[in-house]
Amino acid sequence: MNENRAIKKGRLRILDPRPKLMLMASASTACMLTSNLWYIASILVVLVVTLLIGGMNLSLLWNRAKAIFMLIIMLFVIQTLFFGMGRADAAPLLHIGGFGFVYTGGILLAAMLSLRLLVIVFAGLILLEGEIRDYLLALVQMKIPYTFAFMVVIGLHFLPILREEATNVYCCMQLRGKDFKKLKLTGKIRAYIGICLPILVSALRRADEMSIAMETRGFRSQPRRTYMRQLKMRGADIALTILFPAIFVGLYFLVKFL
Amino acid sequence: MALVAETITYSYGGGSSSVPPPEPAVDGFSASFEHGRVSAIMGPNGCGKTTLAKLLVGILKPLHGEVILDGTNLVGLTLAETGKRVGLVMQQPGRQLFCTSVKDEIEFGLKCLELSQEETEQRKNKYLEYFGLQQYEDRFPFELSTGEKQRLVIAAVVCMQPDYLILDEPTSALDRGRKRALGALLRRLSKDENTGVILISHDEWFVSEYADGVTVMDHGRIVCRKESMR
Repeated sequence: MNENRAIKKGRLRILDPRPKLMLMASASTACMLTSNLWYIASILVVLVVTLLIGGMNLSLLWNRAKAIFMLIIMLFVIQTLFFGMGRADAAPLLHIGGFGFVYTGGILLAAMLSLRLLVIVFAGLILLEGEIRDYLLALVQMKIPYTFAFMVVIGLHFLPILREEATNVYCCMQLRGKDFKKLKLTGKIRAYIGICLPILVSALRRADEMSIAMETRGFRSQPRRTYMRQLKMRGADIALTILFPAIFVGLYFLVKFL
Repeated sequence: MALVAETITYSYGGGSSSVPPPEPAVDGFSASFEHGRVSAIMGPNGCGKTTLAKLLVGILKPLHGEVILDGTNLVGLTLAETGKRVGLVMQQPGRQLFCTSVKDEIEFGLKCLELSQEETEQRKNKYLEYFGLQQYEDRFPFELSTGEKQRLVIAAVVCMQPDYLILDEPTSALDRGRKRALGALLRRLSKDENTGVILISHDEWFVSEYADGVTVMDHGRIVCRKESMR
């Protein structure tokens, strides 16, 4: 309830879905088009500032993305430790028992991948500040075919359910005696992989069952559908739709020439 | 010594000055679940039975009141510590499986209990056989039918031999023969091994046949209690 109240107060909530979709699309595309660390970091800063100005509080943000942040930290550690192992052309920064660990290239690659993942996560968090139905309507008004728009939206709709399932498996593992606090890093990684397996299986199975259920309820039986509601963009919405990609283009050239 | 719920209240969502607080899922529930008894909890859909099960193992923390496990408040225990003493079989069997084979699923809890290899093997074989799963021991658990998954989850929890066992709708996907086998096992666990069994079920036949006492809930509260079914 408190969480809902925090969301209702946010400025991002009252924004039209299209600037938010544009922000997400431009941020995630921009971070994939370059491997410049400073540029990707600046995209991340823009997203964090947008979320904060948009009214999302930091504790809420942390609660929503805690598990993903932990996963990103783990990926960073693994990538840093093992990237470049066995390569004759790279000099390790750390030697243990005759084996080389931690390479400069590994640290840079781990930082880049982690930042990219963070950009995608934060862009996704911006999308959570809105009604799923509005995104569907916005995509259709942007001339995206209804079938594709529906698939994107249904994917978003199931994210909280997947999170709930992950929490459920996490609790089940603990109730069968697995104490996560006492596990070492490798044990933790193994346990988290164990959580991913049932989530993946259940997501695939659900997708399969849902497609059958949709077909049997007449999905796509009509060539074209109409909508009772139409979204209207205000001046601020149009300005932000143009401003967000412009910021990322501007930042690209700024970082390039600095 | 018992698993005691003392006027526990739980509500999903906290409420605020402008929004009225939601109706509590569990409202001032008090009960003592003793060793050696099969205590049933019944009630209509949405009356708070599953929430109560989650409160009794510590997945959810009560907003008011406390849950005492053999004299220790659950707040001071981690889920892993509680899980070694209180087993929980949840309603949807498919959501409690996470290993890559049936035998790994059963061995998971036994390994966490740090039992000897011999003891682990013995308990695994015993429960695989009891629940008719020995022919599936190398199968991927997600390929099993719902009834087989339910038997596997029950076997995986029961093999840890917890002091208390909470089963949320354990018979929903079982045929009559399997229900009888489960009922006999619950009775044996309660009488021979002094396990406290808390049975949450809609199955009136199963409850009347195997429970020692029944508590009926509605809107998160106890509406009636019968200490003896015999």
